[in-house]
Amino acid sequence: MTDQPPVSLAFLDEVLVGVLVLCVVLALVVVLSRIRIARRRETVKQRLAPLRHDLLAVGAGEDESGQARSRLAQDREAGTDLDRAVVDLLTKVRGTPADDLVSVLRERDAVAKARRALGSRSSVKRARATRTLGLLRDPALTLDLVRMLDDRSGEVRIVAARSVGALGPEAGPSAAASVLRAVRSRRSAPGVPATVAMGTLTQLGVQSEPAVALGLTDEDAGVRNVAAAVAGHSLFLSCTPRLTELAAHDPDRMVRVSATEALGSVGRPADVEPIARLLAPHEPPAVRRAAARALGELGGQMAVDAMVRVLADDDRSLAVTSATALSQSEHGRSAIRAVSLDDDAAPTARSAVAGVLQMLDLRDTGRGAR
Amino acid sequence: MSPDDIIPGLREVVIDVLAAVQWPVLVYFVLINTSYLIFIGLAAWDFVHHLRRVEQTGRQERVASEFVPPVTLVVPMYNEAAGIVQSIQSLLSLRYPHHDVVGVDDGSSDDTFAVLKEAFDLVEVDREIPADLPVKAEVLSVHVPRNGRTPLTIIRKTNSGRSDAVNLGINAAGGELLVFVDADSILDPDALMTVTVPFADDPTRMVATGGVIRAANGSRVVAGRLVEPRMPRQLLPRIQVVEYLRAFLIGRAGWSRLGALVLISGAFGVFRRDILVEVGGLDTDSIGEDFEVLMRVHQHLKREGRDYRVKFVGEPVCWTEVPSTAKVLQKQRARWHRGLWETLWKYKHMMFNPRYGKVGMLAVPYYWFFELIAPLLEFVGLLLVVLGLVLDVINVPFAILFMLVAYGYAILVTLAAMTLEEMTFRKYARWRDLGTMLLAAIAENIGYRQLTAWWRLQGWWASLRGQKQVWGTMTRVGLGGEEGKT
Repeated sequence: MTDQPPVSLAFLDEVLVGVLVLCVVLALVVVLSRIRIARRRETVKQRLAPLRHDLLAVGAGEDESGQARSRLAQDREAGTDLDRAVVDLLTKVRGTPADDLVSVLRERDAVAKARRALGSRSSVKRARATRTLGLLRDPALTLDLVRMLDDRSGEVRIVAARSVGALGPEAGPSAAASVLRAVRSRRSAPGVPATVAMGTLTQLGVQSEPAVALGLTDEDAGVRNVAAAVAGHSLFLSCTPRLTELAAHDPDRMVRVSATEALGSVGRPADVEPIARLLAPHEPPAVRRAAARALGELGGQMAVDAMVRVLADDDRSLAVTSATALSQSEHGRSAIRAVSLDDDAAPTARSAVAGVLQMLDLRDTGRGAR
Repeated sequence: MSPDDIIPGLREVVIDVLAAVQWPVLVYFVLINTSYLIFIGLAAWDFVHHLRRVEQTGRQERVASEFVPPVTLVVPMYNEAAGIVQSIQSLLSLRYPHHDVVGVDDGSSDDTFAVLKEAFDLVEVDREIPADLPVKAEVLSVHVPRNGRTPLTIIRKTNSGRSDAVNLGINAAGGELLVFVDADSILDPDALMTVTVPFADDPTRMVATGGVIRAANGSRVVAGRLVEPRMPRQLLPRIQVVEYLRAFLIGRAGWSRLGALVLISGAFGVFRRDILVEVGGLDTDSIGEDFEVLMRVHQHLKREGRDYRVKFVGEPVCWTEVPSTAKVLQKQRARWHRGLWETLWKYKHMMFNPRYGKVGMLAVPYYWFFELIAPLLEFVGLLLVVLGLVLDVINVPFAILFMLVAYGYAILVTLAAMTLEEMTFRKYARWRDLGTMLLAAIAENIGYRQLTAWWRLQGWWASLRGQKQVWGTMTRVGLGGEEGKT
């Protein structure tokens, strides 16, 4: 056996010591991290234990004398742990208990602290502060919250958007415009999530209509998509012409689908024809199916006729979607029953409606088809 | 020729080979393990932001939101009579505003359909299933619950394999988003809410997401729900827990952060339906169909110049039973590696091709050099060490030192992954489980690692020889067969 290791790899023993030391350190970190978290939880639990009954009483609206609220407001030992517990509880209650919890936060100076924390260097602190201020539902804080929609941290922007939504219509139209702007991606960072923005704009009600109308012309597909969904959901009639344009010509397929579905909600009889045109074979399958669903929402003879025409289409997904959409209205149900009984109807059309009719029967009667 | 004539020559060869490969092997070994450490760093960044984002986005509000996209869960099943009812019930009761389940019985020879029929009071309907994707099998019948309201469809078909069953499920699905789930897997109650968040957040660009797969062996399961994660009792599943943690949770989160995720597990993946139809669905001839389909999606969308995203979400958990015997594990690993090789070979044109962005320039080369070749190098390295020892050309203390450094670094990587897990998701709450995981991180390197390297090579070799791939049966103990299971 050779006596000496290759000289070129002689440093391995030092590497081994380094690796072993790091392994031990990591194992210790795992164990210590678990101990630290368990201790922290226990400490918070013990600090809040004397106040738990008061918290529950205020949260449940059972503090008629106001003594529990007063004790919570005056307590200084539980510090920020109590503030956080009140904020957590505030997310779960409405009405008088929520008002009482807000007054507890105000008396504990938590609002002033939160406003100061909006300028903190820590994104976690800024997010918590924004959340606290949002839960107060105080229109006087609108500007503070709207400003946070431009925060450098994505998480803070999300909280700010939700908080603006919590203010409701009192936040005003400019807040809606800021929310839509925040949907845009910033370099590699994603914007405010579409569903959060949609929820917020819906909460702002008619105040968001001008911003939504403008959003439909935005250069960012994500913004147009959010605006289209909100326009449909909130029944913003002024958006209908632009929605029709987007449904027919937007370069982004998802935006076309959202705009078409929105037209199904907000559209009028005059919109049936442009939607029916989207059933044409040259259109993308997803847009055609969205058009079928939209026509099902709109209803009316013209819409029903257009949907019946595609029951025999080569795109069988479209045919089945049309049959399902038809089943949503009495007029449509009559039409598909007529197709199923018509010996001259294309076999493919009859095939598309057969299963839908059976499902209708099952729902109506609760009895089996076979 | 006598051994005395051969041995000196062989010694010379081994000495030359060792001298030639010692540095390349060392560099390779440092690179592969350092890449894992980089992934851990990227995953840490991803998890922290994910957890904050989930906390701030309002999970409760999402459940009631009208803006979340409808989802269809596609569940291929083959001879799953033992647990299918519980599994479907569990899927139907997931928290999500609009989801339905399409189960595809792939010609089971047991009572899979019979038990479903009885449990859900199924009746046959003449529902037409569109042919958006070509399907080899013949559809025998379509069934729905008699009440007409439970969002469940069961399709019976002739046996044609998992991929074909999934393609049929895609055809039958009504949701814009499709979630593929294995029938024997258990999803966390909020798994659908969380794994679809990227689609709800960025609907115009997101095309696929994947959730994390963890080992369910040993955990407490009640009524189809995993209520307490626990470490398995058996050694092989224990090691797989830490292996999945490092490779699936951390590795994929790292790739996702880099924007070059090329693999979403077939046991729990979400895809936009229209994209799957565009690319032709799952390849029924591929043994690594989950890898292959995502590579095809990347190829298609990059060629069309579309702006799109594929993301891994570390939190929603799909719990699955991992192999507990060496025989089953061997088949699984051989199949995985064969699928890896066949897919990489099929898409070799993407390698270092700037047209495919980070996928072509980063992910594909990495998978070639560090996923495909790793078991070969590991095995050849071990062979050389053994030969060197036998032929007396290696210093024994030095050989031991080398192995300790090699496997010590591997243990370090696993411990780093465990540290990240402990600081983020912390699924295993018991101290006993933590201790078992620490031991498993060490045990993985003693025998298990070498065996799996050998099995992976077998899979690769079988493919090179053109051997026909047989899926075989994954023998399962069942999620009610171990401690704590009810």
